[in-house]
Amino acid sequence: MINRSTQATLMGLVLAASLAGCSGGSGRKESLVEKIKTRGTLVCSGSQGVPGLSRPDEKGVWRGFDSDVCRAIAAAILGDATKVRFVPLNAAQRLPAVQTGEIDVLSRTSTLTFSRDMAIRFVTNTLYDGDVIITRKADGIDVPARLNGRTICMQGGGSLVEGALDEIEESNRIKMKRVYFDSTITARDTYFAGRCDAYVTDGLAAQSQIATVARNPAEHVMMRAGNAVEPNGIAIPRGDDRMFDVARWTFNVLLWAEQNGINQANVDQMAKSGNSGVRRVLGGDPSFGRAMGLKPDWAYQVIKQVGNYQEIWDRNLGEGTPIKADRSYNKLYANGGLMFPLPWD
Amino acid sequence: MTRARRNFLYQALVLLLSFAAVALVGVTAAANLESRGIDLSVEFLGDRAGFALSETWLPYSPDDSNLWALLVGVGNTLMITLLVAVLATAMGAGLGILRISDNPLSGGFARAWVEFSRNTPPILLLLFLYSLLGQVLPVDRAVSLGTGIHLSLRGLAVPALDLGGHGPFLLLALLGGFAGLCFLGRAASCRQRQTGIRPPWQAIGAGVLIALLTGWLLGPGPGVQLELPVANGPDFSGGFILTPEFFTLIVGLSVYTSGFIAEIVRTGLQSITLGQWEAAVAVGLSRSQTLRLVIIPQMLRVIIPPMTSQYVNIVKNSTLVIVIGYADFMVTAGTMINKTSRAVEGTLIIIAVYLIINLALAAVMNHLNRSMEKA
Repeated sequence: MINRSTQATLMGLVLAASLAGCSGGSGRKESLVEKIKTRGTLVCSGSQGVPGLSRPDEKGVWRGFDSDVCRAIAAAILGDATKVRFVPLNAAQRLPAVQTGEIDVLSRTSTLTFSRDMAIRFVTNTLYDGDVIITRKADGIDVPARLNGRTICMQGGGSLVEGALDEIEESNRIKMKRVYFDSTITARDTYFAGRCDAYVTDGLAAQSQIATVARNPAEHVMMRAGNAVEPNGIAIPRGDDRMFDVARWTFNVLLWAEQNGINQANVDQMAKSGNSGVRRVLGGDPSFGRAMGLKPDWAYQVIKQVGNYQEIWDRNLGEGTPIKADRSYNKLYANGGLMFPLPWD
Repeated sequence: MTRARRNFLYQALVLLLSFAAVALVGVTAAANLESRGIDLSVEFLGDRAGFALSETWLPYSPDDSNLWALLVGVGNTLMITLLVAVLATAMGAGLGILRISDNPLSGGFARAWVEFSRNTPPILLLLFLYSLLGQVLPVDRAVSLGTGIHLSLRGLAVPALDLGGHGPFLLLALLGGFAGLCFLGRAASCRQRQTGIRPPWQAIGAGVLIALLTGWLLGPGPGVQLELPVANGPDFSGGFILTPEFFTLIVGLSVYTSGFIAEIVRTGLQSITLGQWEAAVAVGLSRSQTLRLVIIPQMLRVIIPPMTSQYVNIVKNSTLVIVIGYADFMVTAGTMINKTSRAVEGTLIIIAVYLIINLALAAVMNHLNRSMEKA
C-alpha cells in the first residue's frame, strides 16, 4: 500500500535503466543466467499479498505457488532455492519491472496476452485460471446478469478481469458501477467493508481471499465471470534465449517429476535406481545441464529443494491449506487436466 | 583577468557541464533502450485504449484512443485541482483570520487545525479519512436526508439537473455572461473617469441577464428538469452521486493544503502595519472599503508568490488519489503504460503534462502578481 504511486516506481525504473547500464551499452550481450550466477541471487516478482500464490508469512518468507516457481529456477541456476529476492509489485508495475531489469523473472498471476507478450517474453503457462466474481450471499446475486446497476470493486491499472466484466455487460445489456483501486488488496478490503456489492479477481486469488481473509467465509459466494481461461505464466525480458531455456525447462522438471512419481522424498533414491530416463535427467547425463550452462544435478536440486508440481500445489493451494482449491485444468493430462511435460529427447 | 571575464568563464563552464550531463544521460538511455530492444514511438497514442475509467468529467469509453484517455485524465486532475484550490483557499483564509483572533478558543482551534493538517502526510490523511467514512457511513441501507437526498457508504446522492442536452449551451452562456459583466464593469470605470459619474452597471447587467434567462426558460428551456435519485438498498439510481472516493480526496487534500494557506494568509495580514488601518479610518473609509481598497491589495502582494507554490503543490499532491481509486491523470497514464508497455514514452508524457500544467499555473499567478504590483 505504501509502495504508493506507480509513477515513483516507473520514473525510478526509467532513470535506473538509463543510468545503471552505462557500461553494458556495447559488446556481446550477457545472459541473465550469467548475471544471476555472478550476483548469487535471483530477483523475482512478488504480488501485493495473495495467500497461496505469493505472500510473505509472519517470518517474512514469501510463500505461495508463484513464489515456489521462482525458487525452482533459483535451485536450477544457483543450486540453492533460498537465494531468491522477492520484489512486491502491483499490476501496473510488473511489466516495466521486467523490461528495465528490475526483476529477472515475473511469476505473479500474470496472464499471457498478445500485447504483454510483445513487451516481455512469456516462457510457459504455469497455472490455468478463470475470473471470478465474489458477492454476498444475502444479496442473492446468483447470475452475472443480476449485477445490473451494482457496484463492483476491482484493481485498476488494466487488469484482465476487466475484459470479463465488459463481456458480461455486453452480453446481458447491463451496466455495472466499477470502483478501481491501486491494489487488489485495497479493492478486497473495500468490498469486505461493504462499499461494493461485488469484488472481481482471478479464481484462485478469489478462493484464497475468501478462505483466509473474509471474517465469515460462508457469507460470500463465487461465480465465474465470463468463460475465458486465463493462462498465467512466467515471463522474462525479451531477447534472452538462454534464460528462456532455463526457465522453460525448469518448469518442465516440475511436471515431469510429477508424471514420473518423483518427489522430494524419493528423489535421492530415484537418481540412483530409477529407470534410465529418470536417472539421465536427474544428473546421470550432464549434457542437459551443459547445454544451458547449468550444473549436471540442476534438475535433482529443483525436485530435492522445491518438489514437483503436485507438491508445490498441495503445499500452497491444496487440501491441506485453507484455500482447498480444485486443481481442475491444472491436473496432468493423464488425470483430465491441461498440463503435460515436454519430452527430453 | 577581470571580474566580468572570470564570471563569464565560470558560467560557461557550468553551462557546458550541464549540457554534458544531459547529453550523457540521453545517449546512455538511447543505448540501453536499444540493447533491451525497446523502440520509442508515439503511434500507440492513436490506438484503442481498451480500459475503463471510473468517474470522468469528459465523455469517455474504452473504445476511445489512448490520447483521448490521457486528456480525460488531465480533465479529472484539473477538476480536482480546481475544487481543492477553491475549497482550500476558502478554508485557509477563514483559518488565517481566526488564527490572529484574540479569542483563545478560535485562535487555539485554528492553531490546532494548522498544526495537524500541516504536519500529517497527505497520503495518511486520505487513507484515514477513507477508512473513517467506511466506519461511520450506513452500510446496509441508505439513509434519507430529505427529498431526493440519500446517504450511504455508496455515496451521497443529490438531485441532478437534467439539462436535456443543453449543457454546452448553458456553459457557453455562462462564460459569455461573465465576459459581458467584465466588459460592463470596465466600460463603467471608463465612463466614470471621463464624466465623474459612475453608471449603475450592476443594475443594467442584472436586468439584461434576467431578460435573457426568462427568454430562454420560455423558449427552448422547458427540456430542463430535476432528476431525483432513488435509493435501492445501499445503492442509488439516478441523480448526481458524490462517491466516498471523490469526497475523501477533495476534503483530504483541502484540509492538508488549508493549513499552509492559513499560515500564508496570517503572515499577509500581519505584514500590514496597524498604521494602514488607522490611516484608512482617518480618511473616512468604511470597514469594508478599508479591507477592499487598502488591506487586501497590499496583502495580496505579499501572499501571491507563496500561494502560487501551494497551488502547484495541489497539482502534485493530486497524484496521491491513486490509493483510493479515482482516475486522475497519473492513474490513467499508469493504466495506459500497463496496457501498452510504453513505459518510457508514458513517463515522458507524464513529466511533460505535469510540467505544462504547473508552468501554466505559475504563469497565470505571476501575471496576477505583476498586475497587483502595478496597482
